[in-house]
Amino acid sequence: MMVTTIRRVLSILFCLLMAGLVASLAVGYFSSDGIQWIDAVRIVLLAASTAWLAWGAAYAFNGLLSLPLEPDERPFELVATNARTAVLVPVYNEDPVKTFSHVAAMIESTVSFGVAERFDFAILSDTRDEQVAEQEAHWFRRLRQEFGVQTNLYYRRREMNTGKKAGNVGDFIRTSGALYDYLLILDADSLMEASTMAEMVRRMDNDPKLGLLQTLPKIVHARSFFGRAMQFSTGYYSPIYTRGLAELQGNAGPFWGHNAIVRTRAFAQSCGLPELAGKPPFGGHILSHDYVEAALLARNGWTVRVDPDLNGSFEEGPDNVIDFAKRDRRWCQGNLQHSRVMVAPGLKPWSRFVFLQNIMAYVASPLWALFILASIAAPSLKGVPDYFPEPGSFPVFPRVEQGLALTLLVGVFGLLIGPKLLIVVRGAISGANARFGGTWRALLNTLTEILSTSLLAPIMLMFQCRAVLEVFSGMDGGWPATDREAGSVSLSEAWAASWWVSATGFVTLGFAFQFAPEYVSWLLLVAGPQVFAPLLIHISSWSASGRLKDADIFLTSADTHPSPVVLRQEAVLTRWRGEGKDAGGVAVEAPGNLTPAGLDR
Amino acid sequence: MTRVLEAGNGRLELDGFALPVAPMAMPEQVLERPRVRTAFFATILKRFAWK
Repeated sequence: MMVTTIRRVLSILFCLLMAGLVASLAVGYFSSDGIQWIDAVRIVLLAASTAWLAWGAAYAFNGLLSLPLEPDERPFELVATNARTAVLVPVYNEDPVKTFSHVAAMIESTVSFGVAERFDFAILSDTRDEQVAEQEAHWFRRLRQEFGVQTNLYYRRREMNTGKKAGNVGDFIRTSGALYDYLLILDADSLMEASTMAEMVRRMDNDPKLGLLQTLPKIVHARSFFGRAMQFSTGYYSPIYTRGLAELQGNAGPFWGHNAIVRTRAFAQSCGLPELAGKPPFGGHILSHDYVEAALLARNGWTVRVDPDLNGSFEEGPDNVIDFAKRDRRWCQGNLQHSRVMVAPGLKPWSRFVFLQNIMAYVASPLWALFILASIAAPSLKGVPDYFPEPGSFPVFPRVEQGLALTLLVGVFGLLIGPKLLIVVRGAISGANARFGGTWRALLNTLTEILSTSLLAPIMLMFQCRAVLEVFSGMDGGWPATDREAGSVSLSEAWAASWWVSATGFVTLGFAFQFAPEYVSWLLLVAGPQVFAPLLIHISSWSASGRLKDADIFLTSADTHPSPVVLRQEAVLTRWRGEGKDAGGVAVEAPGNLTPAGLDR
Repeated sequence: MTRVLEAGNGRLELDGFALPVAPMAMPEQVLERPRVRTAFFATILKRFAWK
């Protein structure tokens, strides 16, 4: 624990140091024509934003410095256990053919690994759409016919989806929890190798204080440029960031809501979530319940841990910016709601700090936007420089400190890009790059990812600013279903969703030309991509996974060494969809036939 | 609250796959502190209440 404390202190000191350095550089740059109140505002905003960037870099540095360089990749050994585990698959208006193919693949995996008798599978439906519910009933019957003999398989649908996913899992515990030592909580798009599931049970058996064990799920099945960039990001960078997180977590690690195992007794004892007083968005049900549950487990003395070496854990991600932003809107509301929870009695200080980070993850965007606004406004708000500070002497003209500005920019970007480049270096040393097409391929893909992130980040900044403003103005985003198979976005759809981002980019540049022409070239880095937001959203959503894969763009081990459970799921899904049978009176034809999430748009 | 999907049309036959019943209590946790102002005024009122 002492080492963890030292790491935490050093990481926080690093952030403060970076914020201080950037602030001092900014003082030098902004004071070329005299420091005024607007400069003080800019310096504070820049320092706060830099501290946040540095915190992300601190996770990476902790991960980069962690040993061993490569985790042990030997297959997990099968160890005897008497523990019973329920694999929970909460569903909410998702395509049942797709979801149940994931369950089928995991059942097959448990059978072939010889652990089928240890795991019961329970599909917990909160589906509100009756058409989807009928499909669920049909495909559950099909799942049972094919795989029900090999394992215990349950399905139930709640009449009301009280408490959303947390309520769904809670309802299972209140109904059936006493039968199971552990609950493996998944999402509708989760996949996990049976060997990983068995290893998680072994680790829970070995540590009676361990209340929750989280894996790092890798993204699979990405089809678009955007999706594959995220797949590369979670496959290549995230293990290092997660190792950093694991170094800092102590006993109060994270819970990301799925692909994690919990001790049923600990979870039941600690994680009954109340409704918060007041109305949404800040009151009502807790949306980002996972972090709250992790904090409550830690509060009751249970250990919560993420083990980055637990491979064989997968999920799917959004394939376009709009779906990403939709999910982000929900997370934003949930994370800002943490401001109500972070003062809860008895929480560990680190849990409170984690809540602060969750809030900062979304507040950072408005801080950057305010910094840009203040920078445009600054020249107009400042007085005329005093060219004759000493009467009778020669005039003194303001110095334009372009060198300082460049240092500032390099420093801020360095916090974003530096860790990613260092991950390539570490991969070259450890040999990890071999799974990503070698060091040169990994470097090229890293640079491509950095370029695409640089173009899309200013657009995401605007979506996040809007989300934060909506939450603070009392708008409840609700609980839209996730359409994990929504593919490409047409230009007209992209325009409808992001014309206002484009307009903001134009207005920003217009004001900059008028009031702060010296900043136009800098602002182009942000406002430029915003102007072209619809086009960038459209292009980045193109479904071109085959061509991108062929060209080794964003190559990951998901392409070179696909996991058996992923291949099983693809085979089942292809077979089921190929049959195109009538399902409860509703035709099931093509993959796109049932797009429940589309109904919520 | 829990309901197994009813086999309205007689084809679904899901009742046999209802969740096994083995309830476990899940007490609601305290997340919010009592409002300090209310508690403060309540204390003051109690102190100055007629004996």
